Amino acid sequence: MSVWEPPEKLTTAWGESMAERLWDGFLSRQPVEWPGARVLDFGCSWGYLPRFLRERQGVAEAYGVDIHPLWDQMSDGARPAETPGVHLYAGDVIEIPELQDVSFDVVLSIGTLNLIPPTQLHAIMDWFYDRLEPSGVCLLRVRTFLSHIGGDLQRPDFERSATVGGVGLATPLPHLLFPARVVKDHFAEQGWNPPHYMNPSCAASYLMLFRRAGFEILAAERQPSPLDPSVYQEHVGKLEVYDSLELRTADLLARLRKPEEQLDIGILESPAETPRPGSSAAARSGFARRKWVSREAKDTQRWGRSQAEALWDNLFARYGPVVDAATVLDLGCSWGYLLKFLADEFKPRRLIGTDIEPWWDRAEYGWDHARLGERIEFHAGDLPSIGSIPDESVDLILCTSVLQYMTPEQLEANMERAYELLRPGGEMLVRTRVFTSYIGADLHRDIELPYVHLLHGERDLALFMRARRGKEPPYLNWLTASTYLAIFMRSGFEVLDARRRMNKAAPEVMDRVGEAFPWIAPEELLCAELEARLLRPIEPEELGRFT
Amino acid sequence: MARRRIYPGRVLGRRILGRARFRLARAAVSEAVPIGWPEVPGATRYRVLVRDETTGEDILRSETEKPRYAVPPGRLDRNRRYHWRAQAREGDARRWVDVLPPLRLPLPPPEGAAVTPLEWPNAGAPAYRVVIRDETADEIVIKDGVRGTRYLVNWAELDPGHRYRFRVQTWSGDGWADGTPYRQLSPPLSLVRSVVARVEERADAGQDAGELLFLFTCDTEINLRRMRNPDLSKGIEHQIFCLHDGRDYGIGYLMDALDRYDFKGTFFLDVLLEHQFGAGCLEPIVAAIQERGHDVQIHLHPWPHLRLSGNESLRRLSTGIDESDPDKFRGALAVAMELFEKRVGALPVAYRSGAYRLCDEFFPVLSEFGIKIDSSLYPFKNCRVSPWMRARTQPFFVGDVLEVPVSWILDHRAAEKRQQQFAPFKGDRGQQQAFTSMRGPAGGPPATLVYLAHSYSMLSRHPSDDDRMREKWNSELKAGSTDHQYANLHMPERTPVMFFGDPDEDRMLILERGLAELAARGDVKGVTLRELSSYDLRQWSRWPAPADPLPEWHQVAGRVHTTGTRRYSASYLAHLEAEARERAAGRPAR
Repeated sequence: MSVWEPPEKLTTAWGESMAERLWDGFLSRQPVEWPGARVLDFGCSWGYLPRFLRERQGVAEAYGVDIHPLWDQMSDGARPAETPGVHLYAGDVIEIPELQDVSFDVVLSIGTLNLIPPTQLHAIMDWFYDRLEPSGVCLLRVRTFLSHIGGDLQRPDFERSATVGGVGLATPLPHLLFPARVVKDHFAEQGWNPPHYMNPSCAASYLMLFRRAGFEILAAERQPSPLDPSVYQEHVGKLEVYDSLELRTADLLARLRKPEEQLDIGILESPAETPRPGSSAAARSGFARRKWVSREAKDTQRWGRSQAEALWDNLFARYGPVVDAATVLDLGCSWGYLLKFLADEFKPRRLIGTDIEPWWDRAEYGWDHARLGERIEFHAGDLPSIGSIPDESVDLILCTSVLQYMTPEQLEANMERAYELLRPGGEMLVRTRVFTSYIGADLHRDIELPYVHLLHGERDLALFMRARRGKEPPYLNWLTASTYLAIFMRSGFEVLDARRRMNKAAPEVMDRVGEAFPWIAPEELLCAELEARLLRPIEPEELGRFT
Repeated sequence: MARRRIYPGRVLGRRILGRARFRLARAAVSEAVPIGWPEVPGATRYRVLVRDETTGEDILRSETEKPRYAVPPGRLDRNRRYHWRAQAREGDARRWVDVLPPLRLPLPPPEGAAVTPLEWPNAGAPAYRVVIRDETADEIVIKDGVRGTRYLVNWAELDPGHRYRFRVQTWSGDGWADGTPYRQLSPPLSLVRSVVARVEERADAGQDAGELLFLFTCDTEINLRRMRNPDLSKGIEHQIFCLHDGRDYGIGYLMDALDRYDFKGTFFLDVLLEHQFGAGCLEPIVAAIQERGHDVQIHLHPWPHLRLSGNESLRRLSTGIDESDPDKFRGALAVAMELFEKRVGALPVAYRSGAYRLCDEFFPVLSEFGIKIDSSLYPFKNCRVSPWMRARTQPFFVGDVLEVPVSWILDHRAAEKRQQQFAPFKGDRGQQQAFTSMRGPAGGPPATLVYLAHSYSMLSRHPSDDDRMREKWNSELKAGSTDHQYANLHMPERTPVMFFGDPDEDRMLILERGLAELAARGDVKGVTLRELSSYDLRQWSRWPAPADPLPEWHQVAGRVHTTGTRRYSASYLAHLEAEARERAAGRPAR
């Protein structure tokens, strides 16, 4: 399959100049022993960087991978794939047979990771880790979604852009101001190819993923947005929900290392690493283990009532949603305790509960929801796959402690469907745990060290869970607060209010986290939960409904 | 640009001491504080000076023969800042010479203080200076000289919510030179407060829950077809002053009501009515408004007034707002502006189109005439503006003109929703409360709430389907007017008939309640359009929320809830792109 690229990019001269720029601006500053190294360039275009490293920096072997074999389309007739010591492959790096048994000293990726959906990127980071030699280095440069060109929608003459065909927008920050649907429609109206996919992660979320994959983050550098601050100020009402450091980061440059040795998982049970309740270490850290509620305890009406009351009093009531005469959907409703509370306390027109599993049918809660007749309905399954709820039929969507269990892609699909279900002017009230929570990986019932997932890689923790607890760790995504907010916005919602509930537990461990991630501002790094009021605004074209 | 000098203690005095005042009880220092300085060849004596930076008072002046000294703890307080200087004197020389620049006295931090130690390589300098820059406030807040290569940042002196950077300078004997580039300085994580959304936080704190500007506007106009007995000579009396039994239920009544609550209104005067109702009809209206201190601005109904003119060129302008022709609009507006200046004595700053007839092409023309504010946007009637403007409910700029939309709500009933303007309409009290309970956003410019009354708003309405009513009206008109007047003013067939009648007490009560509810609030400020024009209007180019607020009255729930309309709509993107294209082509963007 061929892909269109500007002919000038498919020349040796352009590639050499680009490789020199990358070398001078990024790679030469890295303390890496290049001569004799085996290097992989992920997203290598036509292979100019592997060739440069092989010919100019003395690497032993330079591999390059790109999804398309651009090296066969050189406009100057060059044959970069035939360079001795350079090996170029097209396709998915995880699938290319020739690469599965090769180990690398250095893995590079410049300007590619942001084009890959988060879950696929997660797999690729794991692959990098597996293919690196111990102490091997990963040098990554990634454009963040909150970057001024994070949507890759601008014209090349406005800013550098990979938009195929030289089309694009002149408006600054379009991807942060307008929903993806609006931008896509605008492109279609102009007769342009649709914008390509961009990973919604902010820099902090990328760093979380790198750590989760097991890498030590040796250095990270944020390259600031060159946009004039007045541009951000002009749209302050739209942009101020993001952490300001994340917002002003254009590119993230990271140097990662695969640890020399695998973690001794035994330390996860050692007193030093794991403060026991009541221990001196626990006292020092300020961490006192809570009584975590079991699944069985949650299956009671009493727990459900108290949980629903707490949610209402501490979260939903703050926004004063109208429930009477409204259609309310609880996304991830468990057995329906919140819906029961709403039915008891208000006069909703219709209640809808959805959850992956039909918990409402399985447990004996003593709640005969069938008595509500057509006023209540439950749907089992992922929200986007539930087709029986009409578009624009819901006034209010409530969702707590659910989104963190979704992959980033599922999250985005659920938010898009939630948006479609809401009537114009409807709203969604959300609370979600974020990865930076002290219990962001949901391991708190098995490992007492809070923030353990920010200090150790996912595979070490999984190994521990299997070996010492006899079970698999649960899946939680690695998104930080700013990325959640970007996804909400991209789905079409306007974020009327966003509150970050900060970690309070274990200040000493929190300080360790801060030392491990000095490149992330406390507002993002110490966020435990995100609460947001999301509006499905009335569009100008919809005003005609109200005359 | 000159950088503001930081005087020792200034930051403390302004920002920190206010917070620390509660714990300003003296915190004694228990041990002497050792200080030292390089030996000066030939020096026979040294002098040590210690100054309290907060008060500027020298608290110690002592001499020694050796290049070190222990500052006695007696007068020191750990909650204060001090700096010290060492001076040297050779032999019998009388003059003391500074050995080093003033350095901060290194007191142990107060008990439990959160500190960040800073360390840097020894460059062999006799002294270093730590410079801390507050990136949030965009100023340098600390410049502390020290002898060694270590410094403790005491976070009681800084705001952990701000972003800081620091650098270290070296003393060369002549001055300070930059030693390190700026680096990030982060507070200990335990100090980071719970970050609550800015808007809600400000609102919760009650700091600036958002001011609401209440703009009472009254379209001051006459529609002959609303007179049961058409009589051009009584138009002013019937629909401007609305005289009944000798009492004024028109603009006089409205001004009485406003005055009771200490509000001033803006009366958009349809000046072209002079062409229909004759010379001299405007003066008493203007006088009535101005003598009571209310505001007069321009309202434009070219039809039917200009149609009745004897001047053919004026007649051609009678459709000046019905079409999107900027030239025709310019012509009609020019006539009205000239007349307005003559009758009112000043040029208007604000404009409202007749029957909300507004289109994009009018804005540059308004700007040409010096109009700063338009208040014609009401998307549900005769509105022809681009979609991106239609859903806006709060002020925004179109070119140089600030558009202040007429306020409306959604009235949410069981089966349907419909919009409702903020006017003295008859309806649920809750509908009015949806307006009067509206809040301004926290931070940013004030929100606006535009009330739309007419000079005849207090009169009852009497619609009729009876064709005989129309015929009777037409025959009366014919009898009392010229052929030309009749040709333009008569009611064609199927024209809905609706006459104004007696004063309507319900309408008066509704108006009164609305004003009372707004006046009872401390955060509502009544302003006229002229007063508004003296504000810094550009503040409305940065709205502090992503959507425009829209109150929604839920009749079944008996509650008001605020939803919102899209600002960043598809058509807004198209508009921004068009603007960018205009700029790229070297043309001024509209």
